[in-house]
Amino acid sequence: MILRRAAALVLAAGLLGATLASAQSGAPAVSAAAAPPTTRYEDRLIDGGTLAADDEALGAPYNPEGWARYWRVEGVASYYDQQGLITRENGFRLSGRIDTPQYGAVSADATLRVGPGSFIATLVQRDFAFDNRWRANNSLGVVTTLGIDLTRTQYRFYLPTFAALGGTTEWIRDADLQLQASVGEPGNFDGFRLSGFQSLHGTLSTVGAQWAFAPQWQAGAQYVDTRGVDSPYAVNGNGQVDSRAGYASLAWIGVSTRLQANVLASDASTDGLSVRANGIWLDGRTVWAGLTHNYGVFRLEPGLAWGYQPINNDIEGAYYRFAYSSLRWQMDGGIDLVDSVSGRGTNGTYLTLNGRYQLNTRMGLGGNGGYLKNGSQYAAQASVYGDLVWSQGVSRLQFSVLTNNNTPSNDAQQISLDHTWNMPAGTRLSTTINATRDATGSYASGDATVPGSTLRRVGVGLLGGGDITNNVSLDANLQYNLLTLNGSASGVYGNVNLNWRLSPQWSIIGTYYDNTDNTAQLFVLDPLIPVVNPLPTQRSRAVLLSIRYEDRAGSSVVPIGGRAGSPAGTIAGTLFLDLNDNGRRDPGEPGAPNVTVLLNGRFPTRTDESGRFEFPFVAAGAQTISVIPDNLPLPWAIGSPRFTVDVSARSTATLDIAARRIR
Amino acid sequence: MLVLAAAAVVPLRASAQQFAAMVSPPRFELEGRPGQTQRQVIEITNGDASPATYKLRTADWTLDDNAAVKLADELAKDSCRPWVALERREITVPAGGRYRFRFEVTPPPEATGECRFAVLVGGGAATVDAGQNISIPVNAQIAVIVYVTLPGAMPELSIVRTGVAERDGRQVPLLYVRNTGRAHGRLDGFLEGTDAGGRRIEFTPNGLPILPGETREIALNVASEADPRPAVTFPITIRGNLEWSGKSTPFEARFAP
Repeated sequence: MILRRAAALVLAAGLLGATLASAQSGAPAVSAAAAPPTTRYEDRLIDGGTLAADDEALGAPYNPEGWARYWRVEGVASYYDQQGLITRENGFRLSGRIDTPQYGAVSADATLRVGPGSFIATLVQRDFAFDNRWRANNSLGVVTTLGIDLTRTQYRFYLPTFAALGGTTEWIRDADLQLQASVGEPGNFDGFRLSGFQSLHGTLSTVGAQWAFAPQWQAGAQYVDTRGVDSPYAVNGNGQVDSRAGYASLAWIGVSTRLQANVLASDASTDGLSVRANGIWLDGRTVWAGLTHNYGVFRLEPGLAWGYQPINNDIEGAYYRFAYSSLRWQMDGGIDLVDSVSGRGTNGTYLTLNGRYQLNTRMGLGGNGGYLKNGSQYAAQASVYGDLVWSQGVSRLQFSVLTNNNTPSNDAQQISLDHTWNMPAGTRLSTTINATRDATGSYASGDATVPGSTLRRVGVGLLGGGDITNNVSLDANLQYNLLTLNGSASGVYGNVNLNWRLSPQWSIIGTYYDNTDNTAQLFVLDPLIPVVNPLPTQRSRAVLLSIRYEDRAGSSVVPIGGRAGSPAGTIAGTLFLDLNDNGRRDPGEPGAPNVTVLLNGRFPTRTDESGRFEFPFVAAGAQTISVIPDNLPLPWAIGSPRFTVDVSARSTATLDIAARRIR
Repeated sequence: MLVLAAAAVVPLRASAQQFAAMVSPPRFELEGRPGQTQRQVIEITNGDASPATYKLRTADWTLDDNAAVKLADELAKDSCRPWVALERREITVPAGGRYRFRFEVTPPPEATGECRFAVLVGGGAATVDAGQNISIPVNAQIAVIVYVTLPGAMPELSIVRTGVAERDGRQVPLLYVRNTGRAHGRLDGFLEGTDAGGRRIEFTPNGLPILPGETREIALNVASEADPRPAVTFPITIRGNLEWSGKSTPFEARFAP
């Protein structure tokens, strides 16, 4: 096609040759020259042309026979020390994938763990296509139950999915009909590097359907039934939950407005104590006057549950959000008004405002603030910051203040300077320096008065890495906190990863993690959760060593998302909790584990305990990464759950996804 | 001389029966030091199912009025290709393999200004269907553009005139920008216009390079993610700040067809 265009240009111009070039855009050019040039300059050669070829990257012989497939076996040995509680996790992880031409993509993952013994396995088949517009996705083993799309398109409330030992099936007809069912024994993931599954016993079943029954209209329903499930919230571990919950939703999608009405009814019984509750909420989104408006009303009765999990309940109220974006401005803000349905809870108000103005292409100023009033409790936070792009990279200077009137009260101020340095290709470096004053007020305890205290902390951090040699890369996330609090010692948070590629198939990965910093993070504001003064973090450390074998084969090169002959690379990334909300990963910001990440909506993987994920064999070009945020801890969310990544052949494209606090 | 025509959008991957190469990076913008050698690497990946042989050489280049690259094999008058040394002139890359091709640039001690050249990655002969039952044997190639800026070399951009012309079926406000400096520059900045309908529309200049000594047409593109993009009703007054290489200048002009 390209060459055809080039040749056409040759003919049109009546010239000897033609080249499609784009020096202006920076893209390489493709040319079609019909005849050799008349005179050529003879290029000089390095060392007279005797420089040895860099064979390292040429790759191993490739077996082109059969369907495209990939497999990995990893032996893991690890040691964790949390406040003196020692855990040793040793075992194996196996994963494989085969892209069949007729039966969709089939992938299998298994983890065998000794220490705390466990074996989990998952078999997934996705995109099993039929002639009559239907596609099927099926999974078996330790799975995540399914939720219809409408449960995810609400703005304010989320209905969680569940981990279960069982199976799921989903049938999709184009974009207009979705049928789902899941059944299994529910449980929770545990472990660090080697995930295990902790059963809650009993059974959990879900069925759901969604139908686009008319242009601009969608309707859906989902039912969850749990029987004999151990309550994860039981105080003495004896609570057993039987529950039924039904959800129905109706959405109208206009050109600039989207409205969605939701109802939920649940009947949950814990140890025979039954609670019936209903919930109704309406979400709207309108793009008008250059602004995006989100708004809604809600009433969720006390005791409302979804499966064996309580969800937001005993609240009623309304919310409004606006967002505006232009070349120079980014603004959003909103208000939540929340009352207790029963009167036993507290009534609250939450205000938030964020703004950023781009002075020029190099400099931007911004700020954000939030105010939460919950009964007699209030809390507020405000930050201002400046961003500067300069010859050495990107800098942000930020000042934040927080205050609340908890018992004890808490006041904090923090100033920080973050910088992402311009580095040579293959290396990366971000640094941070911050100073924090965190004061806790005095309070009465019986007849005594507990005195207040003030923590002053200066922290420096480093996040970086690079290729030490062609085969060895090192990444580190280090933070050093200097403390002044009644003689407390300084603390260090450190995470170092070493990756040594022994051959195209074999590699060794080593990780050392050490946290001797037991200071608390600053508190966060969330409209639906009372402000709690954070507890000091636990001291912990870990050592991890893994030996990995991975290989691929199949008809020439048929990578994920590609076709025969397509070059392929790797997508690797981290899903992290963006503590300072600047969109970049800074030293000390933790990863989010056990979150499902999808490549092109088709191939799943799950983040490890450090929030890392990887798709090892992906077609070069633009690929889509999406996140199913169900396992993100509250109050964190992914603003935009879809990302486009440009993958280069035999290279690793990195993607750090920032989870941000719901404001 | 090869005479070249330009395409507005060129995919990174060229496909032909015997030419399926991926080249990275697509462009180098280097800072050089007189008398010092720096080595760079171009990664060449063979996406074909069989081994491929590529020929590598340098070329001089300029941009024509349509911003299309014009490559030249013979040495240009002020060519810096004698500063350049390649690893070798021909490489063979296995199917699906990647080759890290190295080249060096050594500006002489008295060198000033900016050096520009291209490294051409050429493939074997392929037959191209030109339509109307005409087939032409051609050589496919990819050009990697290299800029080497020496200390003190900076662009000096000034707006010679403004205008409006039809581009891709739309009337577009244009700037004609002259570079009197010694290095290439690219115009940037935030601009806001008020059109004849009273609507406020944001614009950004396109990022075409403006080479030293030349005057280039720079389109002001509507900065909007709306689909379709808002149509501009002329006349329109556009103001704001134009930026390049750390410099900034206020700008205000009225555009009418």
